[in-house]
Amino acid sequence: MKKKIAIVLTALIILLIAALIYAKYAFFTEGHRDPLKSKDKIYITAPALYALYSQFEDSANNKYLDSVISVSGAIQNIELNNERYTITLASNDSNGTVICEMDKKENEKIKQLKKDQQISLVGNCNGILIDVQLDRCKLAD
Amino acid sequence: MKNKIFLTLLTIGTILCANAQQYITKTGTVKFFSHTTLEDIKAENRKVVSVLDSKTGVMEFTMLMKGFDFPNQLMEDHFNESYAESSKFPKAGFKGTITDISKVDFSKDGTYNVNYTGKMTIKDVTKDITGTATIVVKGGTATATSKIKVKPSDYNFKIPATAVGKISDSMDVDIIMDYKKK
Repeated sequence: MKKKIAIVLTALIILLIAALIYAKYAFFTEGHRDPLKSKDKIYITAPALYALYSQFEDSANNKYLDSVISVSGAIQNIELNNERYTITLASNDSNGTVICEMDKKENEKIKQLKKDQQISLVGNCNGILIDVQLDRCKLAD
Repeated sequence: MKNKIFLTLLTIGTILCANAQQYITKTGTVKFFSHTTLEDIKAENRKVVSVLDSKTGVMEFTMLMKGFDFPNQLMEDHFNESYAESSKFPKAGFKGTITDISKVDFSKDGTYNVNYTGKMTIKDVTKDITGTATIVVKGGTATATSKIKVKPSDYNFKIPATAVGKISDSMDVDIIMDYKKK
C-alpha cells in the first residue's frame, strides 16, 4: 500500500514539475532561444553565404532558413538604431552584404568593434532581399 | 563613333535622372498588433526594403516573414510554422502607386497626406488594397507612414481551434518607411 502511495506521489510531483516548466516556457518566457547554445550551428563565411544566396536562393533557403548559423567576415559597417546594433559583414560582391541585427545584450561588446575587423557572429537566418538578413545575433567567443 | 559616345552619355544621363528621383530604404518597419480579450500579439520587422519613385509615385516594399520579431519565442514559432508558413513563403510585400504624389514637394520640408493603391502579397495570396499615407519630408529624407487593417483569413492564415479567440479577425498594421534619396 505504502509503495502504491509513493508511486502515485512521485508521478504527481513529476507531472507538476513538467507542468510548471511548460507554463514557464509558454507564458512567462519573454526571451528567445540563445543561438550560441544551439548544437547544430552551420559554419560559413559571409562572402560564401551571400554568394550562395544570390545565385541559388531556393536551395540556400532550404539549407539555412531554419538554422542557426555562425557567419564570419569583415565588418563593413556598424549602425545603431533605437538602441539596437546592426553589423554589416562584407561579401565579395558590390550588390549585397550580410546584415546582422544584433541581440541588445551584445551592445557593450559591440562598442569595442571596429570597421574591417574580422568577427564571427551566431544568429538566425531570415533569407535574402538585397542583402542576406540574420537576426538575434550574438558575437561568437 | 560619336554617335556611340552620345548614346552612352544619353543612357548614363537617363540612369542618373532615374536615380535622382528614387528614394530607398533597407530599414523600413512593418508592425502588426492583434488584440483580443484573451491575448495581445505584436511583432515587428525592422529590415523592410522599399523603393519610392518621387516622380511617378510607384512604390514597392518587400520583407522577410522570418524577420518578424515577437517578444515571445513561442508566439514567433507558432507564427512561422503554423500561420505564416514562413519557410514555404519567405517573402511578403506590396507593389503600388501613390496616386497623388505630385502634391509632395520633395525639395521642401513639410508634411503631406497622400493616397495609394496597389497589391499586397502575403503567402500565396495577392489582394488589392487602397489607403492613405503621410509623407514627412525633412532635410532630403522622406518618411512615409500608413496604417492599414489586415484580415489573417484573407491571406490563408489557418488559425487552429486552440488559438481561436486569441488572434484577432482584423490586425492593425503600421508601415513606416524611412527613405533616403538614392
